[in-house]
Amino acid sequence: MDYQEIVNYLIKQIQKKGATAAEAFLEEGRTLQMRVRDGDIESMQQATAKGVGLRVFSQGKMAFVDSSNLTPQALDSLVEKGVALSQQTSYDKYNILPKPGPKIASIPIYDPSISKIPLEDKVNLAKKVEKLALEYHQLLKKSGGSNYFDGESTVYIANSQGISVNYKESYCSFGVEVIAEDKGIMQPGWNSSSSRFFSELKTPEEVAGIAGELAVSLWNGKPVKSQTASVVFDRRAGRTFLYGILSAINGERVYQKASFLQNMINKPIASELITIIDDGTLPRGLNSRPVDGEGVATSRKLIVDKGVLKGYLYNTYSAAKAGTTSTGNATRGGYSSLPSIGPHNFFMLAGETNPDDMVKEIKEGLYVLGTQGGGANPVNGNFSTGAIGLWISEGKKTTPVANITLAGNMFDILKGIDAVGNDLELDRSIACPTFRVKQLTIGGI
Amino acid sequence: MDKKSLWHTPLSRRSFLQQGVKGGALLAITPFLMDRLPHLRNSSTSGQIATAALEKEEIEKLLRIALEKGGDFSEVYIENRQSANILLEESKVKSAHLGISQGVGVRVIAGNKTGYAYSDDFTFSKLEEAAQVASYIATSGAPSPRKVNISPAKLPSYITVKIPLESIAEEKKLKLLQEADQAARSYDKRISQVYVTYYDEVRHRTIANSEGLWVRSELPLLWFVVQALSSHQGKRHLGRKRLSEHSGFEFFDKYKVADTAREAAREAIAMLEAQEAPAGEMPVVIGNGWGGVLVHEAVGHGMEGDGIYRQDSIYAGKVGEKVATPVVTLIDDGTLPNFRGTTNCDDEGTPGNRTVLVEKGVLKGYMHDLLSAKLLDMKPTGNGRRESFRYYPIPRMTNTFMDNGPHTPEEIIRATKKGIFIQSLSGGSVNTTTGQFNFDVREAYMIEDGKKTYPVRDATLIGRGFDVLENIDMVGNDLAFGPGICGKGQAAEVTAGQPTIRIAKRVMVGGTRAR
Repeated sequence: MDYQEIVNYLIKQIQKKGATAAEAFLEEGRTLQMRVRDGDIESMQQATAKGVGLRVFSQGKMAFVDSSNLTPQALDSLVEKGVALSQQTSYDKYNILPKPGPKIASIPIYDPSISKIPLEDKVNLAKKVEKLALEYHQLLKKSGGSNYFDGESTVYIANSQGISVNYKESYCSFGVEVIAEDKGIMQPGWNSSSSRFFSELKTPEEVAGIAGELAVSLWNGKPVKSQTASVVFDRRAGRTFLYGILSAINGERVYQKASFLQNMINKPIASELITIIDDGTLPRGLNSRPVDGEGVATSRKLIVDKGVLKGYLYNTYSAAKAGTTSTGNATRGGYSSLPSIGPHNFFMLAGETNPDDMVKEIKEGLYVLGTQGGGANPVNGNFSTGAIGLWISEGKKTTPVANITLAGNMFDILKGIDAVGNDLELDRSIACPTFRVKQLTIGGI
Repeated sequence: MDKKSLWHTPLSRRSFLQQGVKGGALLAITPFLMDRLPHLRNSSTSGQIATAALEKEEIEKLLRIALEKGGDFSEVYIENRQSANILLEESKVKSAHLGISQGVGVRVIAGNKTGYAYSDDFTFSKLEEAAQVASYIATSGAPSPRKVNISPAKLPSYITVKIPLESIAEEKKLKLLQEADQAARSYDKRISQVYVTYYDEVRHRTIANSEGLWVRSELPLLWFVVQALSSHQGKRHLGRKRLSEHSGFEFFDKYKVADTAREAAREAIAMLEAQEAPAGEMPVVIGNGWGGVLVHEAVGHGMEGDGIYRQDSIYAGKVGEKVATPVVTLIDDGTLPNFRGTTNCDDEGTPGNRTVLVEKGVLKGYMHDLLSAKLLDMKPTGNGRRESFRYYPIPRMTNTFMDNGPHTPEEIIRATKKGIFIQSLSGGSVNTTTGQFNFDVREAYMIEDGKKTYPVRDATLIGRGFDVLENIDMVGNDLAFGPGICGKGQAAEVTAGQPTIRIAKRVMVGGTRAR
């Protein structure tokens, strides 16, 4: 039996044993991971892996069982356990499975060439990015290591409503950390590039340059005085707000009245400059997939339209509760995880302002290059984070800033965005252009 | 919430994973394939499916194959994990989850290089293939002539089990969840939602290496989390309390789940009154227990052997030097009976150990796995740990704590004119190169004129680890511990502990209220 036949067989077996509905999610794949340090391979890891997760429903009661062992005896035992366990949980009328939808589009997310590229080329890429980063500036005396990763997997999903799909995907990535050091003070800089297709990775020159520049420009950062000021978020730093929005548009959270964005559909939550999209169909998108973790077709959705909230994200269960249909946002952390809710490619559309012009207009303010920890509290929208960056004085980026905090309420911050950059790049699955917040509380000395 | 992958942040970042309610209740951002492919993982299990095992001769053969390209050291790690996870939400048993995962990892060390391969398929030819893949890391090409002859070794016993987890019927577990749910709800009418998580697992490990070591160990684990959401007049707070030990089911005689639930509810209600937190530098008093996570993050990660031999930790080369005020003594102790960070042996077969990191302000030592100990010519300390067979071991903390000092907690608060009292922290992370850390505060109060006053919400704490150690000026006598999950590219079960402490300066509080 091939894997698609196995998942279809499992669905039949589970029903034969007395369950009323069932779903199987099977994943198999391979990974390659390596780290390079000081010009030599530090570690190399290769593996193949597989496993299956079964959701078993008995009259609205649900159990989940998973196994990495796919031998016939193991699967038979797993089915029996799942059916028995499903008698033990509580009835929930929203425990339903999706039906097959319209024809599923084919999205380019698999690069068959990755596994054919010689290992040596991948090693050399990691070695090269480290070497280039160290050569970028004289302050860069130490390597934090570079790495290369690739993998591919095939996912098979079947359920008792008739869904039976599979898709193949690939992923590759490399990155480097380099450390600026002088007078006993160390500052790392880092960058990476990820892609579905090996040929679309950024050049090692570009990745090394960004990492090196970051380390050098942030070296010996100092806190500033506590104050409120204009703050520009570099496109690599502003993503923290997208995570804040994501946590609050989770349909389950909204249903439980534990989101600061509940009851806000069709109401303004951000500046008119802000439009946010979730797109599972983007060709070559890092988080594009033809179907979500329950086999529901993905789509492109408007989340925020010119500042107005347009929708939440749902999987089948949370949608049933909310009296709507799944948005195709069931995500799984792998075969051993139940479907939860998450984004595909989630990004803020580019605006018209050149990021340099945003800085020019500021007398005193902060240019944020990275945030550390914290984020938005999804329940009440309070936002707080550590930050590093450059101080802006008279329209110019000047000295490095570190050891400060930024805080505010998400509504105030999002509505206070007064410029959005023209520099969006979809090089991450969650991405935004550079933008400026008119006033933000900076905690320092 | 922002689950960071190695590829998006500094490679040296360590972080504490926030424990959310799994299964769709709270948002689990899966940042994508990166989290999925290597993640064909995290599996778990239960049931009578035959435990795969290997014979002595088979293990020895794999160890030999792994050295065929000239490696210095080879290791076979066999793991079988069975787990159960039950979620209760809206007073309903939302899901019950049983997982089974088993596999073999083969590791080869050649100089300072590591080769690793694993297989979840126990077919011997697949395992031979894995051993060959791991062997390629060695480039000398000359087969290691060493004979491999493994013999069983005895391990100390720091974990005792009276009632084996395998013997417990699901009904008994369900009862605990319902009891916790009711206790939290009846604490106060303003508790609007309760999430309870029960997790248990039994992890069987067999570890053998080319030096002749061969050990077997069975590790039970319990994890119980209550989260209570309060809602009142538009204000909300999610309180949390966690319990965990390596233990049999007698754990629930020692800890009452109703008490745990009431503690989560207490936090949720107390914080309804919270006002905006201040922003800026101020004295910080951190309560005893899980607050020790600050020391774990801010300091502990910098004392792990890998950062030391790579020379990218600020503590590299500083043994014997003063790194903290004389009131500070830090210890990592993997032998504390049944603690969440304890194991009879680490995931390389080294017995658990008590390691003094800092004694009265002076750096005494580091935490090692076999590789970092070898490269630094120091002794292994039993800190070589791995999340599962899908990872090779790296130096990790176990139960890490600051030892007791002379003051009562009341004295410390009384001695603080103005500052912030941190009752509990949730997650945090550190960059070990710069020492820069950040934490999210769960529950905190202002200190005014030596008294704890009103609660404040949603602050972060940031600072630098070495600054903290140099500015801890008061240490309490009320050492306590809390369980957690530590992330360093892979997860590890740990506890963090401390008495009440005061950091006089150099910690920034990130609130919304500018001074």
